[in-house]
Amino acid sequence: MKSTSAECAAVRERLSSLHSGWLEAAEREEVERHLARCPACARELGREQRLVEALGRLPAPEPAPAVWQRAAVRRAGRTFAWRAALAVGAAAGLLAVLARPGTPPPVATTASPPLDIAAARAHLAAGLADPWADPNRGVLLISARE
Amino acid sequence: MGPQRAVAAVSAITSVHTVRADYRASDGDLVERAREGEHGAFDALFDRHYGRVYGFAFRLTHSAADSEDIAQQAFVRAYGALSRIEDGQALLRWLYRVVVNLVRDRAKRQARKPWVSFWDLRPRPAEGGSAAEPPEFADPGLDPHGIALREARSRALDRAIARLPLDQREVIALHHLEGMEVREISALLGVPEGTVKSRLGRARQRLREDLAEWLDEETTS
Repeated sequence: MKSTSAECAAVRERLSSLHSGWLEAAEREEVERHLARCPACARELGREQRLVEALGRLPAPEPAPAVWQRAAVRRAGRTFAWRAALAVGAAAGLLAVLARPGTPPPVATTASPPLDIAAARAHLAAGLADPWADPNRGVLLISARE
Repeated sequence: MGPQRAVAAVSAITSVHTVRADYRASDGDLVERAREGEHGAFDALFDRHYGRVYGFAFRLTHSAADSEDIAQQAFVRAYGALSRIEDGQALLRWLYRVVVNLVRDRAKRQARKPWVSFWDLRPRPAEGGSAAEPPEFADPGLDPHGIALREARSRALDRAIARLPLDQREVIALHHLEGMEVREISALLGVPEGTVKSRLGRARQRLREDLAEWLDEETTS
């Protein structure tokens, strides 16, 4: 019996299932009977086999070196943020330990500059319009209270 | 505790996170350690799986830029969902599922395939077109060595896969390229096994039609 195009189309739709062993026995025998008398569909089964082999050999796409570099930078950024948060927390813990009762916190020992009364009087005498704009305003105010 | 001991304690707290996680540990172990706050554990998972997640995304999008973005997003989601990932050993499958969803979302938003090239727009062989390779691969004389020929054919196969509908690309990538069983793909995609098989069947039939010429040449080369 000669194969019809409709029959060939139905068989070709099932060639992958035949190749993968997914067909039930009765259906498999039906397809195999067709293949035995239809060279075109038998050739198509050969293509199916070679296609599956080619798919198995297809190399996996690899990220380009630049992609890896960007990924590493992003990951490092996230890692840095995580470690920065840890460091802040740890520093707060350290301060809490140092500030506990019985352990006086360190005190700044920077000495204040000596008051220059003569310079203040000179500024006042010069009649500055805006003493707040003067960097020596602290001295000026003290001078004014004298 | 004196200041010196306090400083030593702080140093220990910060330095423990700078130690790289054991790269021989299983995914499940690393996920558990990452959940407990060991940052190096997640870094190890990233290093272990980033390439494969990128490669899977590339199979679906055929776009390096999209794949990079999608792979990055998948890991960000995994990091945020560490407490909800039930089976750490199946992290890679979890990541693949996220990639599938991200690619589908993009496809819906863009309503077209941004990765389709001019070559891809030519009629398929079944529609009257030619399966011949583009000029740079058409002449076997340009690729006298077997390696070059195989590379050219791999590119042709890549292009043919890229022309498949997304649902067929997904199953081809998962089954043939990632080596997953139909049962696993069914669970990952949330569709019956029969659906996975029928999608695979349609995809392979279409690939056979697209690549008929060089599949026939395979017997002679």
